[in-house]
Amino acid sequence: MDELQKRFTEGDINAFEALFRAHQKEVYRWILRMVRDPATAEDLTVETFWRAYRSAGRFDPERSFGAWVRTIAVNRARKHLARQNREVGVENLARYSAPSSVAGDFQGNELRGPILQAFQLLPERLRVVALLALIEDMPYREISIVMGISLGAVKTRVFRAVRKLRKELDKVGIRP
Amino acid sequence: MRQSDEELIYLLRSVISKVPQKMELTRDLWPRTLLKLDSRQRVWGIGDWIAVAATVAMAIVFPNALLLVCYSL
Repeated sequence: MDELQKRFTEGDINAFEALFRAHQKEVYRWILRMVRDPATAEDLTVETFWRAYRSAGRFDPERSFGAWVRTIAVNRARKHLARQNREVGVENLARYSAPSSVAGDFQGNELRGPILQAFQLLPERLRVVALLALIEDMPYREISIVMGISLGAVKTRVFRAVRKLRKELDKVGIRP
Repeated sequence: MRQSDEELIYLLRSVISKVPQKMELTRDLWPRTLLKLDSRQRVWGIGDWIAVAATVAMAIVFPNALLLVCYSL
């Protein structure tokens, strides 16, 4: 793999293709977990690898290509989320949910909207970590690596996200 | 984590679900990536703009030379 990565840093398109094929699914999956829209995840995957190729000269072939490209992917997804329209964000958050899974149908439908709104209202840096840690159940260590922050920072952001969510839900009378 | 935090997370997960494992990438994105690489490579670089600026400047300073070039074409 190191030889492949070395050739990639020299701009070898065949080496890039081999690395692309080895990592495209994983990169797509990371992005999909964050943006929760398959078409956008495909666009951002293409964008991620395009950026990786353009920055090939700056990549250290001794490092892991997978980890490097995942970091680019997470940054692209975060930029996308920061620009995203709030309504679209709520729609994407609800995308894979069962129509009404919160205890009882009537109560479920009543809670759904405010919970989605409260989650979408979280600042992007807290929302991303909360999404990966609390919803996607990703290990904190993995989140800290791809986001380029310390393990302690991940824990703090999760804590702050939970606190902020509780405050927002409390405003609309939801007290879990 | 407090008991109430666990309950909040449970509530969240019942509204916002995990992306299903089956949501895999179903098509190869290499052709699209290659197309993007090619199209961006065709975008003008700074060298192209310098060449254009130099040509315009020459045309302003030596209009007769430009007319001669145009005439000979």
